[in-house]
Amino acid sequence: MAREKYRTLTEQMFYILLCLGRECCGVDIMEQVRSMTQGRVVIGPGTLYSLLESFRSEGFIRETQVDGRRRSYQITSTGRELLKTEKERLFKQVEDYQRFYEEEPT
Amino acid sequence: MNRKKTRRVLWYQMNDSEAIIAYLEKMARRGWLLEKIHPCLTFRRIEPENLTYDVTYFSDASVFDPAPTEGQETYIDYCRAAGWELAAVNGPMQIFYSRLANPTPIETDERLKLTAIRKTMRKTTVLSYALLLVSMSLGLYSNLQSFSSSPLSAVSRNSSFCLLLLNLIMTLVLLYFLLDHWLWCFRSQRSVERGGSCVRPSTRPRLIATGLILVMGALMILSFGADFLQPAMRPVILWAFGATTVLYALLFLTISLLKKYGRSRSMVIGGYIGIALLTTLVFTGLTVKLALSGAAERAPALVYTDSHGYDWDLYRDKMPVTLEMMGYSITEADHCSYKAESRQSLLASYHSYEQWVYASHSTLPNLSYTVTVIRWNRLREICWEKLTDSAAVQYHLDTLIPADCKKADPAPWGAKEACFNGNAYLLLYDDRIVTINAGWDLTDKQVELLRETVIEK
Repeated sequence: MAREKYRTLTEQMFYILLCLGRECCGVDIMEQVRSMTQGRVVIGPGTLYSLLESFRSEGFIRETQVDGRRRSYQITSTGRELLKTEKERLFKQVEDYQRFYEEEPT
Repeated sequence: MNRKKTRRVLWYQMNDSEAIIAYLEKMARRGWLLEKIHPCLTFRRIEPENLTYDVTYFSDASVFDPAPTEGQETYIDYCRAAGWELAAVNGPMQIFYSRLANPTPIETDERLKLTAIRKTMRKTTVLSYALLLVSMSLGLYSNLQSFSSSPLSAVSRNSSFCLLLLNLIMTLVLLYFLLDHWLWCFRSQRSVERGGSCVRPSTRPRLIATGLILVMGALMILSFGADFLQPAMRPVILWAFGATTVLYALLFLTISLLKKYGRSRSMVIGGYIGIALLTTLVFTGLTVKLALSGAAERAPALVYTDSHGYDWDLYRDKMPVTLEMMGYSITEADHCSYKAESRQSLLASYHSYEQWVYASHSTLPNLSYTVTVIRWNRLREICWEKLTDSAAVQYHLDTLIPADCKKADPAPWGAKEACFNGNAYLLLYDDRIVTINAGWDLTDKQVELLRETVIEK
């Protein structure tokens, strides 16, 4: 179960976890998120480091490879659950939005 | 002159990243690139250029680390991949620069940034300020106690009075710094929760407060310098400055050497605490030894050894009134000492006279008196209140006057106010406070003599 502070993910948290659906080196995540979101979401290196450390200690991601200081990570089942919960929350928001405007008399 | 390096003092608070960044970017435009933070900012000469700086806080690092930790190295790698080069690092504080036109900020999550700053500040600045505050408050308490027990001595020594002021101002400034930091945390937290960024710390008031401490520090050094002109104070001041310098040099060397040889953080901290405790113990022991040896006292005219084998320093100074003038007859066998001391501070001039009889068989009384001219009315009143406040102390150490003096008629002394206890008198005049300690009941003629030669002179 995700801790209270991860009840709602920030965009940066969401995309880091999404990236790590496939094994990825920490340093490459910044570029991947940028291209994935066409530059809309930008993650600073300091923020990336803090979030990776935080996710790792919470068990949302695990270290898969260590090559010198290059470390690779991948999402865990707990992390996938967290991501899925966030996706459902976002879908619910979209549904609520659509229902509101569809039911609204024109 | 084309210097390759220049050094500057970092005046800004550690978490005032915006002010630090603005300063570093200005230095880069002038052709200076930061390469070291500690012990002062060190810059090396480059071609003037528009660099972008960023200050970040790696809270897990410590100034006691011999080198950047593994996590810190990874952090630096991530920054490098984003176009940031490490300029300098000191414990948790890391400063990066970038030559890119619009680099991605290192911290893009204000909540995480605030957490890192708070954690870093708690471990470094807040902790050291809190410890310093405790030390300064204890120092202030001790100064106030010393002022209560010896007010005349305190105001007539520049260093004593400046130390009291320095401790008072430092205590207030540290309280302000801690309160200001707490307010900054509170306001930043509120701003971040509303989707904003960390607020700017109050740069200007902090700089003013730092300036105030520096001015007080300079005054303190000047006051020591002024006291140094008085021969009796020289060994004490030399010792105080020498011991402090050696203590700091030893601590600095210990940390530098342990870090240089790659010792672990806990070993560096252990070495630091060990050396601090050891040197403090050694210096305390040596200070006690110095005080007991009488090295701080001026050389006596002769030394008298009594029948019990105790040594007594005898002085032959000139005194305005002596026991002889009061009608007593003194012989060599009485082993009398005539001691006169004067000192001057910015606030007061103090003159003390003692005629003590050391021969154990002698029935002669002792005589001592002090005259302290204090021109500042309010300060003179405060000193008088302290001298007549029996609740504060039993005896005033500088005059040996009992504190529980009773009001007496000031008319015979021509004083504004007078108090007495046995044969001890406390007298208040328009510009001075006089204390007289006579071992007998003074006659009208003797009072008249004291008035003419000591008080009204």
